[in-house]
Amino acid sequence: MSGKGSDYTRRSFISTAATGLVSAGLVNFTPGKVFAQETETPEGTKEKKLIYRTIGRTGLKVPIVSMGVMNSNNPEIVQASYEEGIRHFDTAAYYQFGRNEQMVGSVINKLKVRDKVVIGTKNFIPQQRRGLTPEQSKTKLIEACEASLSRLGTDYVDIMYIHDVRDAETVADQGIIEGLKTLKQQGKVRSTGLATHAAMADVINAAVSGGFYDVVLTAINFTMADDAGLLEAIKNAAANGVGIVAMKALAGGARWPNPQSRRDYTSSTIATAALKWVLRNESISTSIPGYTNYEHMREDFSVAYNLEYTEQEKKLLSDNNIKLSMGYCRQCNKCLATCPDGVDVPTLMRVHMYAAQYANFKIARGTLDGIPARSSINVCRDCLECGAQCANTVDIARRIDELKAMYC
Amino acid sequence: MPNTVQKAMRAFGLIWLSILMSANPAVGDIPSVFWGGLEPGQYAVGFETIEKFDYSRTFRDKYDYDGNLRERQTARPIQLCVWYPAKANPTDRPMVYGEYAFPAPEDPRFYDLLSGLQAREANYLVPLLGSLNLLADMMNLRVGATKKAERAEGSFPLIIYHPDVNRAYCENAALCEYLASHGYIVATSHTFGTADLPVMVNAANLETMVRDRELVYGSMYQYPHVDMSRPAVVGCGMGGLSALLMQMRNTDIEAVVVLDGTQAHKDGIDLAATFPSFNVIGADVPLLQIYISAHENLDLSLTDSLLYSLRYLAGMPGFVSNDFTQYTITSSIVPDSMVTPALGSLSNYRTICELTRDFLEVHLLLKKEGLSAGLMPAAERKFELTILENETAPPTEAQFMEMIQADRIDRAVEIYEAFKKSRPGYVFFQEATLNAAGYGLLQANQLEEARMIFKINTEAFPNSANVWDSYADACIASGDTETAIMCYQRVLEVLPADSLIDPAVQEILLNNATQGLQDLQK
Repeated sequence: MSGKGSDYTRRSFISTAATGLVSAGLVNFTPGKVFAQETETPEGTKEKKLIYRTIGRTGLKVPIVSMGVMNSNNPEIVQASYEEGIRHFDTAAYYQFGRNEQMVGSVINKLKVRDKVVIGTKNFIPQQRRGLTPEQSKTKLIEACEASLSRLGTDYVDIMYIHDVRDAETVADQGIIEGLKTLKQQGKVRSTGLATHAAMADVINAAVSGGFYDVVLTAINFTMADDAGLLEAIKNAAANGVGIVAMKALAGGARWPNPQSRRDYTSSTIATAALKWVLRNESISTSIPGYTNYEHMREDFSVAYNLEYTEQEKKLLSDNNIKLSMGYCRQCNKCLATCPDGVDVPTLMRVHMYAAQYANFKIARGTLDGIPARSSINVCRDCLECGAQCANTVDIARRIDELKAMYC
Repeated sequence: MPNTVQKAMRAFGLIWLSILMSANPAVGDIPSVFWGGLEPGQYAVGFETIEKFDYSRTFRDKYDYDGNLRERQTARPIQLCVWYPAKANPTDRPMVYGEYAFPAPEDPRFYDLLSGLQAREANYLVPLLGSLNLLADMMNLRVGATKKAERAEGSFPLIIYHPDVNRAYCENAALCEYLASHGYIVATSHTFGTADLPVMVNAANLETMVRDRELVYGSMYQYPHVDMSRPAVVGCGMGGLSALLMQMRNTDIEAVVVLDGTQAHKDGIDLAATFPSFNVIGADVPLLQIYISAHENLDLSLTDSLLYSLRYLAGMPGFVSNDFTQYTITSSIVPDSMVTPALGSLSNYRTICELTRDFLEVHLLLKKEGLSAGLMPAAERKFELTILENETAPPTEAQFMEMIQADRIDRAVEIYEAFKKSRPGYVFFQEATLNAAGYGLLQANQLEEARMIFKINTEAFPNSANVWDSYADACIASGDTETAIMCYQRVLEVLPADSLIDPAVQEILLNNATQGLQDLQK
């Protein structure tokens, strides 16, 4: 069970199928739950203790706040994160064409702390694994993972994720599994994982039933509180020893999402409330918020000491307008069937998130370029009444308009 | 400098030996894809980077527009990228191409620059490869070097590599690894503009390219196991022109290789011809130029003008630009359906690498007497090879004056006479310098020697009244009245048209010649 041996009193996470916005925000407001612990020093002062959790059956014990390195282009902030107490760094071969892995590796090697940190990286994006035989898949995956080891300057990674998994078929892909098994046997990969931000419940459930993968890195945030299927999948995974690491915890860059939230709440409140909402779920071992400056680093890491909501955070999570205005795309793919031109709307929504919220224009461009021409942005005809409908609250037409202004 | 004419002539009399035969078996585990089938040498390959700032040049503004001091490094950042012969170690992990595309710096101040250069490389590769996933494959491609591998024992000649404009320093990493495997240290740096990353083709950026590589060259003096007595330069595209210009102003450099050179095209020639340090006399070392013989803008007139260089011109029919860089290796990782002629061919690239190494073995390592291809019957070659013999270069003024000061006047006159015949009108000294040397001899009472020097000066500058006047002085001192009269007569003849002397001196010369003639004709 995730969380065993953690440093604070735990109660089981109230997995709720609540669909109302208010209940979504108020999950885990239960009085009496303790989400922070203080110890008394010999001098009589009180010190807050860092909250650790174990990532499923991997046995890797890390603070509940880790670093998503993806958007960072500054080795000094990686170093500062280590010095702040962060011990888990999440990167990917695809980020910055490998530079991100090099940056993480160079800092960790410079600090000589390889044995003190957990490195998670991702490999084998869908475009790379498309159309391969199992044998080709195995060979190519091994090559790709070994390339990651070179860039990271390490002999092993703690968690090797398959990047961007969107279906149960990929989870069961025997070529990939055989490749990862080989890497595990060679000691190059210690734990295996899947990274998913589309059809997450299906992927998590497939990982649990398949029994091979140790960790799932999944998108999860407070705007998805009504996704009972996902919450149940997360709970079930944790119960079965599959570690859950949370990404998109800030709903795609919650610090700067829209005028509504900025008007009523500070960016700090938005970030810490969003992170706490995710991490109060004890089935989630840690989260990997991405940040690019010291202020955000400290804000995010403060949550690792204290999951108690402030009054402002409670107010924010209870605020229906916030969730509506966030417009977080869950990559549920339900909109795919609603566009008359067959535009790959979910991927375009990700492009929008990378560009408009992360300000990571390179990965936005790369993601956009990865969409086949037949379903990319130029296929969109600017229908006066955009037929594409979001099952949640995403304003698809407006975001595609903004993307067109940027890329067409 | 070795007598390159003799070496070239001997080359034709020797039996051709395959460079493949001479290659040593591989010690390191060299990846076949990245090397395109090239035979490794006896060394494994190490790679490392060294960050430096060139404080003599600024790359970033010190102040913003409003005059506020910026808190950042303004000096030009130079990251040396070095391939070197290494000891093979089975536990070493070879690098992947992505580590070349972004050579992670030790100094965090280099991060932004290198990130931008990596993005430039990626932007170049994506259209070339045709898809983003292939770029990911390319970045994962295993290369032949190991980062910071243990150095091999020995002393190795230095090659300074000059990349093309707007291309990565590692555009020819396969060639650089190949050379390092065969016992060379290859050093280069990133190519970026004078004040920004993009490089417009102009004289300012060309000067920056040369200076960047000069800084690399200077920095390599402290490098372990480097033999600085016999360096060479290799350049590709506009980097070829940059390499040639660097050699022209550095007499230590022993050989030049130009790959697909800008200097073979009109724009490059125009740029070179107006470049301040372009100096034909300085280009007196062997040159290998490999070019696309079917290129629509081919113009070899600049190479033709390098009379004092032994030139090997290897024209490659049917080659494309990517054949001159390892980018052709991309053809081996893309699906057959996506391979286009623009990607080039591995065998073409192999030819270029082997030819380069063969040339360096002849002219740098002095291992062989002639270029292997030069000894092959023309019908067996897959390319057109023309060897243009070098003429003997004239001395520099300093060399010529050194000869005079060493009392080797006869030798100086001999050289002068030889060049007078072979290149009429060509002068390799200044009038005033030689005149001063003549008076030095006169004061030392070396009258005959002084006469010889002044005579040369009058031949070189026959319209100078002053040199005739000086020659007259030496003739009078040595008692040759007849010649002295002739000299004064010449003074009076040329004086009215000699616009290079000021009126006061003109008057002195006029009076001197008039008086001299009166005195001598009495």
